[in-house]
Amino acid sequence: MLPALSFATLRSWDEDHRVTTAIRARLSGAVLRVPSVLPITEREELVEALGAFCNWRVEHVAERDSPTDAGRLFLATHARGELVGTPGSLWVVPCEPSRDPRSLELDAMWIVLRDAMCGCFAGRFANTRLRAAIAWAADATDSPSTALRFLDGVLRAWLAQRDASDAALFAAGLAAVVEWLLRGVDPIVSQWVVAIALGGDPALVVGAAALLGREPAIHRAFDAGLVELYDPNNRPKPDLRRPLEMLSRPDRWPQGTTIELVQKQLEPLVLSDITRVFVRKQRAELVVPLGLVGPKPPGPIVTHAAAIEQACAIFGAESTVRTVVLRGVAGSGKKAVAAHVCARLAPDREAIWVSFANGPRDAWARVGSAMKLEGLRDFEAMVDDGRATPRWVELVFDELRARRAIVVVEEADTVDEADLRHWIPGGAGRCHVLVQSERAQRWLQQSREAIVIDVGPLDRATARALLAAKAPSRADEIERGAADEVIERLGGHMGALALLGARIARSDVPIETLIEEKGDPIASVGRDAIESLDEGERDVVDALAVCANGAAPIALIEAMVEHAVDARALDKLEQRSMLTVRGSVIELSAIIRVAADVQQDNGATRRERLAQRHAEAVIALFERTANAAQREALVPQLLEALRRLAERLEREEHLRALDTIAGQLLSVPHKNRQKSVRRVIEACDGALSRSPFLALHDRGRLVFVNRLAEAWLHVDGTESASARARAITLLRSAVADAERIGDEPMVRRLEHALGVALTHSRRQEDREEAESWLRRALEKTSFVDEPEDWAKTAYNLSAALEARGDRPHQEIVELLRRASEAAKRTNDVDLQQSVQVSLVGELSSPRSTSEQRDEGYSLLNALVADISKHEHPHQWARVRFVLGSSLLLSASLLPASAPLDRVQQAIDLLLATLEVWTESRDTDDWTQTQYWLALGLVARASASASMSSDDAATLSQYASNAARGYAMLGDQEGIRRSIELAERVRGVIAAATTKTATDSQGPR
Amino acid sequence: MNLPYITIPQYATTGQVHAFADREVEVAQLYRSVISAGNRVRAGAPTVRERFVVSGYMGVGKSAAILETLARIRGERDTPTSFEEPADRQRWLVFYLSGKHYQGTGALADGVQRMIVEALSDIHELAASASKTALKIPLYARPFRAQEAAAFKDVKDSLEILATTILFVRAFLGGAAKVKYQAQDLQEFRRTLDAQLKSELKNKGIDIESLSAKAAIEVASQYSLQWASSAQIALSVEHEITLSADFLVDIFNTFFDATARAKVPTILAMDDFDELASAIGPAYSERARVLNSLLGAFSRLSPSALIVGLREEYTDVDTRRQYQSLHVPPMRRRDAAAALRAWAQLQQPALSTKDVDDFIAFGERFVEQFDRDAPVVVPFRYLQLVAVISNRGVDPTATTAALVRRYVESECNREAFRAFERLCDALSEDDVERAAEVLPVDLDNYKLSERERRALESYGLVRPAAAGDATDKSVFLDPLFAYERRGRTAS
Repeated sequence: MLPALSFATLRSWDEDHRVTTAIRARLSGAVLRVPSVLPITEREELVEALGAFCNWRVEHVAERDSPTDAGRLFLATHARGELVGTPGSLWVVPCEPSRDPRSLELDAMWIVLRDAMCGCFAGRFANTRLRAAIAWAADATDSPSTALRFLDGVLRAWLAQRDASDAALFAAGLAAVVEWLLRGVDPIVSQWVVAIALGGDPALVVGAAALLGREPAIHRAFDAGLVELYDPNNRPKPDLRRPLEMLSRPDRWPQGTTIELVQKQLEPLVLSDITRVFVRKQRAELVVPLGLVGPKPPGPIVTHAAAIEQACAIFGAESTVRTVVLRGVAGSGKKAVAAHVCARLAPDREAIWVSFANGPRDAWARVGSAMKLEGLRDFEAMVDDGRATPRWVELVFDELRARRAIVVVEEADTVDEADLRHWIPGGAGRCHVLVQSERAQRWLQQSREAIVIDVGPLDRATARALLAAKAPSRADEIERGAADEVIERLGGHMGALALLGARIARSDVPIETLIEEKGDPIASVGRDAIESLDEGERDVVDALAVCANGAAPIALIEAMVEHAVDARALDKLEQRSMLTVRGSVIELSAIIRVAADVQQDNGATRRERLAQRHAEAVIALFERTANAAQREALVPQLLEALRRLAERLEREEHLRALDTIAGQLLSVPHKNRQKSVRRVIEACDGALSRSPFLALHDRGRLVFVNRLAEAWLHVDGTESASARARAITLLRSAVADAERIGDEPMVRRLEHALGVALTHSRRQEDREEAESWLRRALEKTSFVDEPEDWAKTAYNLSAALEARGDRPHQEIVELLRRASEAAKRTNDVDLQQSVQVSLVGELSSPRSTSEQRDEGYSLLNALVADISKHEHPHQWARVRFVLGSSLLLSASLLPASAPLDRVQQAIDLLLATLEVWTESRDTDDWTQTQYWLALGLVARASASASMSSDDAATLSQYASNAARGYAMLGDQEGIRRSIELAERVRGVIAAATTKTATDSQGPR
Repeated sequence: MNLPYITIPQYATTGQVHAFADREVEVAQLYRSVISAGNRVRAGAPTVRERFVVSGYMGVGKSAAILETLARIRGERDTPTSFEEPADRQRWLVFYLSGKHYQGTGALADGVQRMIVEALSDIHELAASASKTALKIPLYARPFRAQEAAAFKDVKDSLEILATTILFVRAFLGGAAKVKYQAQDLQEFRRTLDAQLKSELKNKGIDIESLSAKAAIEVASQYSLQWASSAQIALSVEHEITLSADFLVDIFNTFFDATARAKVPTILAMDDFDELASAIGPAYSERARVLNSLLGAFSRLSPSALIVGLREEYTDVDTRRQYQSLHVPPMRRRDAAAALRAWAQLQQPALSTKDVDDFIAFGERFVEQFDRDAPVVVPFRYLQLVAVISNRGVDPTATTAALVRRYVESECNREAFRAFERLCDALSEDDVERAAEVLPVDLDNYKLSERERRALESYGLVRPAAAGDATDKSVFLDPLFAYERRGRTAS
């Protein structure tokens, strides 16, 4: 980014300003020592500042020379021993800083020069609102260079947005100077520096930085000129350079400034490793629980007290992640022990419950999502990179290690014992892990030094106490040993005893008769418990039993039972140990779930009815839920409904529901979307091959073929090409079938789908064929009666035409114009805006006439004005992204001299969109914007035939961000493009460097 | 309060007489003594040699007092009618040198030489244009009227000789460094030297048989001989400086002898004298040693009046014996407003009356806890404090102490700031009073570490009370300490 301020600017300001005159007088004859550990840029800039203020010629001299000319600024190349100033001149001499203690001992003159910098700035801006920046700079900087960066950051932010708040301007200034100081410093050292600046909590750094350790990091930071004084014998916290110290001085910030604001400003400038330190700090400060809560500890008595004590003692460790495996059979009380441990450690440690029921990826994706990690914005895009622990999971682990948390892993047995160690955080860190398992997890014991605590059967005394507590009215009887026989028969199984206790409380028959003599006593307890429920309670339990993993959001259960679920009723069921409530989610106990399943299997019609109700309820709930997190929570239910429906394909309503769910899973972005796509493919495949209904109903079959093809088109990654080929094959035959049966609307729909599938093919002939299918579909669609279909088809046809070699510009424009008209007749705002954005892109292309470009420009302005950032931030950004990228595209085709202003406009637009993508944590768009920004800077450098060093650094940053993003997304095409881009960037920077070198040599 | 941005430079430059406020007593005393000496010269008294040292704490306004005095002598300022007027004011020669511009006497010699060349050329120009305008700073010389120039040829020549000799000796030293003169060559060397200097002066149209020229040639050759014979020994910095000082004194004195003969009163003001030793390094004791030997050498100077501006910590018994001492104390609280007003009125664009009043009222906050007549305002620091804090925008809820701390924090490094805070907390009430009036304080009671003390010294917050006396550990504390402490209870 081009600086708005530089020392050269100062020269052109008020040269004989009183401030500078006074400094010149003061510096005459002085010797200024400059610590050699400071970055070369800062040392050079100090000299430049002195030159600017004193208006003296700078001369580089060797140590042995001792020139005596007046009016010069002598820059010694070596440190000198005895120093004597030269009258009328100034010596700047490198010096080795003190090492014991480590101290930069910056000359007081640095502050004077900083104030002079501010004074010059005041001379120009004192009558504007930027006057406040002078006070901020004085607080936040300690040298002319840092003051320059700070004021430059403020000025640039102000020029970009005149009405920016003081807080935003300050944050921009601080971010600019912090970025400048950290530039070129090893990121692991930078992480420590920022962590120390933010309070010094070692937990703020993770990974390689944590391995490096605090002390060596401080030493290296000192050698990078970032530490002013480190005297560990007297003061453990080092004095960092002032801009870094300012990060932890909110009392010096203008009102409204937050660390998040500073972090936001820093995000585009520094590596994410560094900004994540800020995020950790905020989390640590705000103690924002992730909301992944577990159940409350069950009452009224505490069983397995020894296990709880043991786990709590192990979790006393502070610096290493400790792993405890709670081993026990289902229902033995592992969850209760975990809940008690969490409750005991709650004041200090946040409990984070994760379930591997749907696999570890899903579990950690949920944790990552709750953490709102940058780079993990779109979990759909998260791909396994071949590592045992994918990189993105490592990132989640890094964050977990930094939290004082107890991570409780449920359903760990879904993962192979040998693999589990890859899916559990370990190493240095502050969190601990509690794994619930039925196995001993030997691999965890070996690799993580995990300690296994058995959650075994209850001994007689505890079992009696539990029963007595559940059935206080019969406590005496139990104490006398009346329940000992059943305790024996239940093998001290805690879950079963808890259920039995509730049963005893409601019964007055002899206790031993409460369990059937034959059969599994535990199953008998479960069955009895269900049978003892009233109708309303039974509905809830039955509904839960058909939900995914026996758990569901309360809203879904209410939709299934068609009435509100009373909290007291849930409470009652929880007291009877039949279910647990975690926030808004209810979960059936294992014994009850099994018992309910068995009972439902016995009544197949009831079970089918419940499954159907579950599917309908989840479809409806998903449809009307706007909140992304709530939608996300419903995805497992959709998948469960899909699975059940795929098993029952005999009736038309099953197929309709299946199709709807498949459509929802395909169209709505969510985590692990690829997994859902696979499930949809399996379900649709199964339906097509097995459903007797579909075998008889051609139209229904074609609907499924269409859905299946759509699913294939959603397959990402390396298989996407073959998947697309399958979709095309399916659709070709489907079109023929539809024509055969004469179902015209279906033909049209399939032709449209085929056209879209072919458009995205890499084969040129496919793309050309796409056009003809789409044309056919369009001809059959009525503009008047089916405006939505017409607009969509025309829109897709325009895309196919764009992909054609000769690119019929006029036709595309006309098509999009009409598509826009059609879209306006629908209520679909997304469709309207998508069409208009494409139209604008086309009108702005270099093939357009000047009238068309004007039209495009005004339409774009209307679009830009129409879409509110507040209401539709994504579309707002999308429009700007399209505008920015199309401006660049057109600019790059114009003569090099013409489009500098357009390039700049494009860069500004892209920067605006980058903010939105950074905010929304959208990796895909964020990556693309970085790519285009890099292209923009390349274009600007080519057009202006020059490039500042800042620009070169920013350009490299954008290009590497783009490459990183595409690699993360697994986008092969993007990776290829970013490699090409890197080549161009290298070329541009090399050319700019050569030019600068040539310019500095001057004419001979 | 939201005042316009106010610029008060961090370092006062020469000629900023607007920095002057309330120094009537000191100025009057200096003015009367100098005028009396000059008038005696005009009256034909054979040996008039008055020597004054103007001392005071850093930033207290010594330079302002000296400059104000010189301005009055030159007739640029009104003087109370009861004061004696300089006789034939236009014939007075006033030299003003600031140590801030010349570090080491070698530099001083260079500076004087350059200055004289400028002065001579100005004199020629003035003679041609018959203008009566004063010469520009840094040479505070009242030139001769064009028609009288001939009558003062001797003086003019001696100025020329002064300049030429300095130039010659400098050129000679530059060449001599490459040749090792043996003792037996010295007489031969001296003859060569004399011949060269004579021809140099002749070329400038100067009568080499005149008293001044002869004396100058003698001084130059003596000095060069001395230098050449010691050239084989590694010269210490101190040695070099004192040698140069002796030479400078001798060469100046040949000039002053000429002026005395012509009954021309000469005033030589050497301001910021301590800065001459700043090239020695930051150690106070070293500086004090060199300055004392310099002061000894310069006490031989024979202008009608010699005025030396020197920081308090460098004055000792010897200085007080050789020079008439004139102490400049901090300003009284009630006069602080005058200094603020003087600066406020200089601002461009001009401040409104209300802004000026607000600025003064704001400045009053820092000292309102002191008696109206208490000498608690060191102008430089005080003006910086008020201007800087005012420019940064004042939080209306902040205490005065918080404002002072903020100022110190932004102007010093963290280490110095921590030491400042610690000392502020620890100071006894009695020492707070002493800090306010810049009186020596014994730091032993406060267990300041060597590092802390050095950090405070590097930002001028602490200065030794007697730099030349290693046994005296007392210090001057900057009044900021007192402002902070008293500001805790201020409104």
